[in-house]
Amino acid sequence: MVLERGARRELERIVGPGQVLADPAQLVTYSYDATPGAPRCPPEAVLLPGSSAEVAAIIRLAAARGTPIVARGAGTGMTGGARPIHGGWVVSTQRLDRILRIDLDNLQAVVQPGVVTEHLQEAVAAHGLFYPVDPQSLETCTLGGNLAENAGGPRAVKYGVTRQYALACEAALADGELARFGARTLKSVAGYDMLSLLVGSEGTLGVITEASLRLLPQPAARGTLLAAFGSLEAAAAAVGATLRAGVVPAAIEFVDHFALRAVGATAELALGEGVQAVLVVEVDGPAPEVARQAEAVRAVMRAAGADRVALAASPEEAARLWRVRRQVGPALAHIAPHKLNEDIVVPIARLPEAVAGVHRIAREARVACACFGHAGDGNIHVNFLVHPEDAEELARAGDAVRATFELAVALGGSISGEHGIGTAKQPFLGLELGPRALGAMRAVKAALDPQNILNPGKIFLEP
Amino acid sequence: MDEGVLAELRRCVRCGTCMSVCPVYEVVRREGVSARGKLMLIAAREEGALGDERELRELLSACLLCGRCRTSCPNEVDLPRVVRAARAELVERGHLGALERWVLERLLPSRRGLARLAGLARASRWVWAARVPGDSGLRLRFARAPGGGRRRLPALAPVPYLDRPPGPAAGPAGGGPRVALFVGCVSNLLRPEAAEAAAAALGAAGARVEAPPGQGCCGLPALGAGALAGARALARRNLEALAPEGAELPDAVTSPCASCASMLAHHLPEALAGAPGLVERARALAARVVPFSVLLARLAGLRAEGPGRDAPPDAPVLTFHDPCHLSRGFGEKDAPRFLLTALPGVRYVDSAHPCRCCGQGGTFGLHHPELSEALGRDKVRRLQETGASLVATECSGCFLQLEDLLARHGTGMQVLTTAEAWRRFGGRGG
Repeated sequence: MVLERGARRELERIVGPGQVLADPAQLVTYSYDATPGAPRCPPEAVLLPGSSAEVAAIIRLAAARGTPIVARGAGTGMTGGARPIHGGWVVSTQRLDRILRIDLDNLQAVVQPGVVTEHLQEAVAAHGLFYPVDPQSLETCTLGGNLAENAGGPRAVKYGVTRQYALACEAALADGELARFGARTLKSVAGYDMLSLLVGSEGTLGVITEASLRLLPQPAARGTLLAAFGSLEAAAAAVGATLRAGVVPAAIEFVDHFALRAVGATAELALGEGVQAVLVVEVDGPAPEVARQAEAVRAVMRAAGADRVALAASPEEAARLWRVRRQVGPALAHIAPHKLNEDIVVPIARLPEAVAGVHRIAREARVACACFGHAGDGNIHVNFLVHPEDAEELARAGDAVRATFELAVALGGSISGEHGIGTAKQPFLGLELGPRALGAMRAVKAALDPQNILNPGKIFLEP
Repeated sequence: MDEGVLAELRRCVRCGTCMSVCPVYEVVRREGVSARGKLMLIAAREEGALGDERELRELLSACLLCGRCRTSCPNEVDLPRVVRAARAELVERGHLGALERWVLERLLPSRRGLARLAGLARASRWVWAARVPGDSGLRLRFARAPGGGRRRLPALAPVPYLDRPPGPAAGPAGGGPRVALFVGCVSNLLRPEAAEAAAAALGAAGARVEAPPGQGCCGLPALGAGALAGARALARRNLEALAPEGAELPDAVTSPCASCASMLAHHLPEALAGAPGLVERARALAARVVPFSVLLARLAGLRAEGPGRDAPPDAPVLTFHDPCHLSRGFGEKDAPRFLLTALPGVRYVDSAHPCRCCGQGGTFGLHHPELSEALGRDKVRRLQETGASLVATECSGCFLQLEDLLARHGTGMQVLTTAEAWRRFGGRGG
C-alpha cells in the first residue's frame, strides 16, 4: 500500500513534513523488530510525532480511515509486537525521548515513551536513585516499549518487572483521545486498574504517551558470585534453596553447559570439564549486609552441590561475569541464527523439573537445545537451535516448542515470562488460557478498540 | 555482493545493540541510519525488494565508518565493510556524481592530484566557492560548515614533504629496524612537520627511517566512498612504492596517520582483489604495518603510562583524541597514552569519550555537513572540559576536522600529532 497524497498532507500537517517517512527504503527500516527469523513487513508510512497531542491526532486520523497503528520504540521486542503485519502507520516514539522530571522528593520520574531505559537509569543514578528494571536490551530499548511489553530482566527476583514501577500513564486511545490512568502515589484503588491493563498490552489497547515511574534508592553495594554445578537439576534446585534460606538476591541467572560453550565461557571463566550449569548470583544492599548475604549464598550453593563458588573480587570481575551472561543470547543467535527462543516461566520449586523436562524434550525431538535465563524468578530462555534449510528438523523443533509450552503450563507456569505473545506465540496462548479467559480478553479489546486499528493481529489468533 | 559481505549481513540477528553506540543514530534517531537499519536495507536490496535507490544512497552516506557498531556487536558484524561494498555497488550503477567520480578516481590517484586540488583552492577561494557545486567531490575533505560559513581551507606547505631532497638518513647507520614511512596526503602537502616529527622520533628511538618515493594517497577516502577503481589504482601504486617486487620488505611500515596505516594494514588486499599476483604481496606488506604510536612506544621501550597524569597543575595540559582507525581499527588505545604521559613538563588529561568519532568520517561531512558539525560540536565540548590547551591526535582526517572546529569555536586550543607532541616536549626512549 502506498500512502495516499491526501493522507500524507494531513499527516504532514500534524507532525511536520520532515517527520513523515514514506520512501520505500525508509519503510524497510521499520519493517521488523528483533524477532528471530520473522519476515519484513513494511508499513505504509512511519510517523515521528513530537508530542502526546500529535500521537492522538495521528490516531484520530487513522480511526477515521480505518488505518492500522503500530506503536514502536526501538524495535528490540522478541515476539513481533512492533511488526506492522497489516501495513498501516508505524508511530515511532524516537522523538519522544525526554525525561520530563525527576522528582527527588517523591522518588518518581516522569518520562516520555521514547526514553532509552539505560538513559533513565543513568539520569536517576546521578541523584542516588535506582530504576531497577533491566531487560537484556536496556542500552537500546525504550521505556514505552518496556511498558507495552511489561518487560523484565535479571533483577526481577528482588525488584519485579516494569509493572511494579508504573504509577501512572497518559495514553492515546483508539478514538484518538488522551486519557490518564493510575495516580502518582504508591497506591490507588480509584476504579478499575486500567494502568495494569495497558502495561503488557503490546500496543493493542492504547499508545502510551507519558509515564510516571517509581524509583528506589540506589543500593550502596553489590556482590556477584559464580557457582558451578555438575548437574542441571542441582543448579536449578539451588535457586529455591537460596530464597528459602532467607536471602533474596537481586538476580539469580542460570546458564547451561551448551550456552556456556557458545560464548566460549568455559575457558574464560576457567570452568572444569564436568560443569553442566552455572548460576550467577547478585546480592545488593548496604555493604555489611551484602557481605553477609554473599556468605549465605555461598553456603547454600555448597550445600546444594556446587563444585565451586567464587565471589567476584572486584567490580571489573563482576562486570566480566555479567558480560559473559549477557553475551549468551546473541552468541547463540550467531551459532544458530534461526534458533527458536522461548521464555517460559515456572514456579521456582518446579525449576529442576522444567530444566530436565526441556532437555528431555530436545533429546526426543533430536534438536540441539541451550537454556539460560532468569532462574531466580523461574524464567528460563529455552533455545532450540535449528538449521533453517532442514525442513524436517524445523518441524521436529516446532513440536518441541509446543511440548515445552505444554510442560510450562503443566508445571503451573506461563508460556511467556517477559517477551509477550505478539505474533510469535499466538498459536500457543490457548494452551495457557481457557476459552472463557481468552473471551474476556477479546471483549476488552473489542470494547476499547472496536475498529481493531491498534496493533491488529497481535496476541490473539485472527479468525 | 561477494559471499564474504553477504555472510556479514546474515550474521546480524537484529538485536539492536548497535543503536546504543552509533554516533549518527544518537543525533538522528531514525532506524535507517543505524547499523541494523542499513543491514536490513541492504538485505532488502539484495532480494530486489527496493526500486528507487536514491534514498538508499542517502542512508548509506550517513555512516562515519567509525566501527563502533562492529566493536559492540555481539556477533561482530563488520558494518563498515558492508557499507563500503554497498557504496561500491551504487557507484558501479552510476550513483556517484561526475565531479565526485573525477576527484576520487582521477585526481586523488594521480601523482600531483591533491596538490593541484589544494593549490587550486588556495589560489582562488572565490573560484572554488563559486564554481564548485555544493555536492561535488572537490569538497571531499573541505566540507562546508552549516550556516553558509565556508570551512577554512588549510594553507599548503611551500614544498611537499616527499618532494624534498632526502636529508641525512635519520637514525643510526647500520643497525636498527628498517622502517618505511607512509606519509599520507595531509603530512605531505599541508603539514610536513608531522612527517618530519614522525621520522625524527623513530630515528631517535633507533630506527632507520625512509619515506619511499612514489607513494600517494592511501586510498581510504575512495574506498570508503565506494570508488573502487580509484582505490585500486592507489593501492597498486602504494604497493609498488612500499614493497616493490623482488625487494626485501621493510621491518615495519608506519604512518603519522592511523587511517592511512589502517588502509595499508586492513584494506590493501581488499582493494586489490581481482589482481591475484598483487594480493599476496599486499598481505605480506599489510602484516608489517604498525601504527605510529605503537611502533614508537615499542622502540622507546614504553610499556606503561608515565607520570604525566600527576604533573603539576600549572604545566600545559594535553589531551588525546583517539582516531576511529586507531582505537577500533587497530584496537589500540594504550600506546598514545604511554607516549603522552611520558612527556616531561606536560599534564595529561583524558576527555570524556575520547574514542568517539569527531564527525569527519571520510566523505560523511560532504553529504551531511550539519550532522558532521553536530558531532564535532560534541567533541569540542568534551575536549574543552579537560582544560587542555593542546589536543594530540593521530589521523589526518581527525586533524583537519579538529583544527577547523577548534578554530571556528574560538577555543584557543591547538591540534598536533602524537609525533609532534613527542618532539615538542622532548619525548625520549626508555
